[in-house]
Amino acid sequence: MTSEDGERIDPSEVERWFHQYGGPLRSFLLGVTSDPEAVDEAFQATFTRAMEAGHTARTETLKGWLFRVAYNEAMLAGRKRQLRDRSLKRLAERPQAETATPEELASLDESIRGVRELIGELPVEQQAVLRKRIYEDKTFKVIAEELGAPLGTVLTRMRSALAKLHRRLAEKDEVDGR
Amino acid sequence: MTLTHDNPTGDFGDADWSAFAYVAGELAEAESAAWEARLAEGDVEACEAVARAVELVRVVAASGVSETVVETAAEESYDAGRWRSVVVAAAAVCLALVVGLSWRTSDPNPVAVVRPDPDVDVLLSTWADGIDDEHAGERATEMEAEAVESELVVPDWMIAAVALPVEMDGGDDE
Repeated sequence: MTSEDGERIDPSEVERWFHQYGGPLRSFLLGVTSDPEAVDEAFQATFTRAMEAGHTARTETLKGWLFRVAYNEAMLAGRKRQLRDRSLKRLAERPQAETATPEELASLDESIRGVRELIGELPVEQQAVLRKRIYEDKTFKVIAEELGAPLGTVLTRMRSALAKLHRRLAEKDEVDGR
Repeated sequence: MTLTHDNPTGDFGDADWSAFAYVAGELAEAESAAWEARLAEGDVEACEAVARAVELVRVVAASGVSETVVETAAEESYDAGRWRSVVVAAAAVCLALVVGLSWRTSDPNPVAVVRPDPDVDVLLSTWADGIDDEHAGERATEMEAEAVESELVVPDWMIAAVALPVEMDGGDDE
């Protein structure tokens, strides 16, 4: 993983990491910071760090190394920015088109349509919880109160709905050869 | 944009559920701290689960955007239509008043003195302002009522004409 001088990593290697792990790292950073602006800062810092110290990473644990660096950079960015409370709405703020190729955008569009169809096929009770939690950003506790259902029931409905959506997207990824 | 699924069965396991609860801010403080400790260690299962949870939320959120946009567009269209109706109604009342006033002012009798009606200016500006004035309809109705009321007042020229002697009233034409 080192360049000819044995001290620094070959930039083309970092570029390969960027293409291979950039998407998941960005999503990970967004999940950790809940702040789209902090994501940019931490993402850039992660790859700067990869250029500086990537030669110390072992191939078999590279992914974990990148996530660990990203997490530390997210914490640094978070301290500077005094991160706000977590909110699912904020996760959806950033346009997804920023770093995507046309093929990825087409695939994303297909995923969105597939998910929309699947949501329509979910049992009404699951749809209600999903919509309230993701579209309206209400907590499970509030949803349980609104629906007059036990919290455990609401959580089960949400988990079932997410599992179906997750499976659908996983199948699509497999078809796409990812 | 890949969902980075390393589990070929697409199972939504405990890590995925915990990751979702984490990004949604639903974990208790102790659970959240324990989860973050895994992330800090670079635990690939936990880190990837967070990435998947974010991507899942974003796709689900995006799948609801177009519905929201359609609903919003429909509401805006309805509102625009409603305001258009108000503007058209105000314009019609305004036109009726202008025609009525011009008919009255076109009377050849010099006794008639036409005073500019300040309400007409108000009505015209209301019409010009269009949708910005939400009380346009109410105001137009008030103006209409006042216009009807003003028609009941007998103008000076009519009183003068009635008071003229019969011989001046064309009675000697025979």
